[in-house]
Amino acid sequence: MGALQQVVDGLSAGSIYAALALALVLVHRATGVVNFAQGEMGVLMAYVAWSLTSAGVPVLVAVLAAMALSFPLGVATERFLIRRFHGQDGLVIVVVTVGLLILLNGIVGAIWGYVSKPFPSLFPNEVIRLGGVAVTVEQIGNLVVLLAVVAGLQIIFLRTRFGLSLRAVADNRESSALSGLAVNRLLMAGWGMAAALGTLAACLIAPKIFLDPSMMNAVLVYSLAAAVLGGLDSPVGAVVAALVIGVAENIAGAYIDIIGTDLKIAVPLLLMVVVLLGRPQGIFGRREVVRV
Amino acid sequence: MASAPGIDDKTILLGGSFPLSGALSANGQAALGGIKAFIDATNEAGGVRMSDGVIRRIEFKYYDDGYDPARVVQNFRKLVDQDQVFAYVGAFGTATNAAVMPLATRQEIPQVLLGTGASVFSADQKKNPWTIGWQPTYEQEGESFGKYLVSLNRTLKVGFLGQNDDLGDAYRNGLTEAIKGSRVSIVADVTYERTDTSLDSQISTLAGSHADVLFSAVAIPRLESAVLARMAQLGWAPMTYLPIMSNSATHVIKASGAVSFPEMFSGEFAKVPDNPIWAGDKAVQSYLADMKKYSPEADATIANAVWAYSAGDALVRALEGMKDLSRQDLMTSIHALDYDDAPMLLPDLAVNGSDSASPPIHELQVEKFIDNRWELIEDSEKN
Repeated sequence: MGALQQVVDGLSAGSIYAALALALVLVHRATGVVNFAQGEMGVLMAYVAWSLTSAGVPVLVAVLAAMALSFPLGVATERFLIRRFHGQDGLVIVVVTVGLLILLNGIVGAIWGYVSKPFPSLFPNEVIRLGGVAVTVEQIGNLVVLLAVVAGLQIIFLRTRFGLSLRAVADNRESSALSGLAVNRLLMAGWGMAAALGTLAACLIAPKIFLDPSMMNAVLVYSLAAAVLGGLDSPVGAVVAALVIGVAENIAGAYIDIIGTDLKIAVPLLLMVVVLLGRPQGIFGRREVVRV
Repeated sequence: MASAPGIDDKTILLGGSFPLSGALSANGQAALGGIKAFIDATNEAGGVRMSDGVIRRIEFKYYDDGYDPARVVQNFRKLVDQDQVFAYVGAFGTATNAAVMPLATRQEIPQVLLGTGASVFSADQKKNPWTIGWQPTYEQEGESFGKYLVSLNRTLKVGFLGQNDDLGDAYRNGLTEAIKGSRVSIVADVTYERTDTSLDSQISTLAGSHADVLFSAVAIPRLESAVLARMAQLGWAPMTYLPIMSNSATHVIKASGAVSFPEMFSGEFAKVPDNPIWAGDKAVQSYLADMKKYSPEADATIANAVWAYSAGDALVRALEGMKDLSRQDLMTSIHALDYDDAPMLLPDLAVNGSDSASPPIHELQVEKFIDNRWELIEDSEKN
């Protein structure tokens, strides 16, 4: 019973990491940037959703509204901030997004304060017991929402013209522009979608870990590990890797004495090192080929 | 009379540093508000009558440190070198005060009545003669619940959950010390990191140990809430201890949204202003009135405000008890503090600065959560 419970807990933690990992992958896939502020943008909009629910709006409507509002936020971030640094060293953009993370963190704290707030769940607070293992409706719900999002993203990326254009722009901005693609609009759309997804992630996580300006910081570490492990351009890879990380971390923490709960946090990083040594592009990632 | 920097015929200049921005700003604001409220009330009542017969007002200078040890060190230097404060009083936090302690020792500046439960500030007063804490240490808190468990005179298996650092170790050491040689034993010992998003795995492990008691030393209120929520989901309900930092009836217990709760215990040394059991208490009423009047920006229901307010009282008593207005004399006077009528302190507890290995308040009372509020255990057992 104990081991099975640890697996269930791991899947639940993994689905939290996966939600943000998906947003990271989306931005990277669309614009080739790793956005360290992705989680914090989601936190900002989750606070907006919280304000709406406090005003009496049903939680589902509040979350959808916050996601809709996130889209222009993501678009504006790309248009007015990230684009100014286009063509510069990748590290510059990393620093810009880290700066944005710190700025948004301060803004959220200044507006809503630093006392963590309970966030209503999208799902009923019920527990299903299967032979001694407790599974909550929320855990199942989060996993289902995630899988639906991954399926949706796969369809968009692989089966639509829009997805193809997004991939083309990420792959080679100049060639895409020369081929007549509306590169700027596509970039903005990619950021907008990622922002909406980041907000969804924050709203799914918040009932579990409470709304707090810094709630996504630790999640970001795991999500980055998952995104890198799964391959930065693969939504499926990110989700699988996130679930694997969640389960591996818990099982190792509970059953390998030398790791214990003290070193649990090292497990995903260790996994990352091992996998990247063998497959630098990640488990599901596509090898980057550059023509010379 | 030649006096130390910061004291003239009209005023005593004191300083402190608090996290007024960042994640701990609500607590920092509360701690500052508490000590300021007591000082302002004292000034308004005339001031502090000192041994040379002069009545002086206290001026309190403070800076924001954002809970960043590097900024605290700058603030301390500024207070001592530029502002020329007489002493550094009531500063908030463990990491921040730890950064200041070596400087205080070297420069011989009193660093006193600190808002932290870490034992390091009071444990070795030979080595750090210029530093002393205020409230009971985390060891003492762990010990007081350990003693309570032993007093039940039953065989009890305890599961321990603590932060993977000095704070967790302090609780564990206190608890272990108290139950040594008794029928109470620790059967599972699990840690978490400050950065953990979920403690579900830890709770599953602890539940699997079939412990009768969970000592849940989780110092982050929202994580403690999540622990209670998870226990309800698993249907695991051992006797559960919540530490003083995470025992808020509103922000931890109610916020967890759990549908059922185990039998919950905690420790306390001060009156909690929004606990209904103190509704008619005179000390609580005048505390709330002072906070409203002098520190309206601080949340008076945050425990740090209460602790700092009572530290303000200790400060005034220590200043009154000084003989020759030197910094050394302030330390002597604090060590001579001995009284049992501190404002906001629980009725059976006392302040005593004479123990050279312990902060001036070094006892707690165990309380139990009954009918949606904390009740001191002696009282509830009498009922």
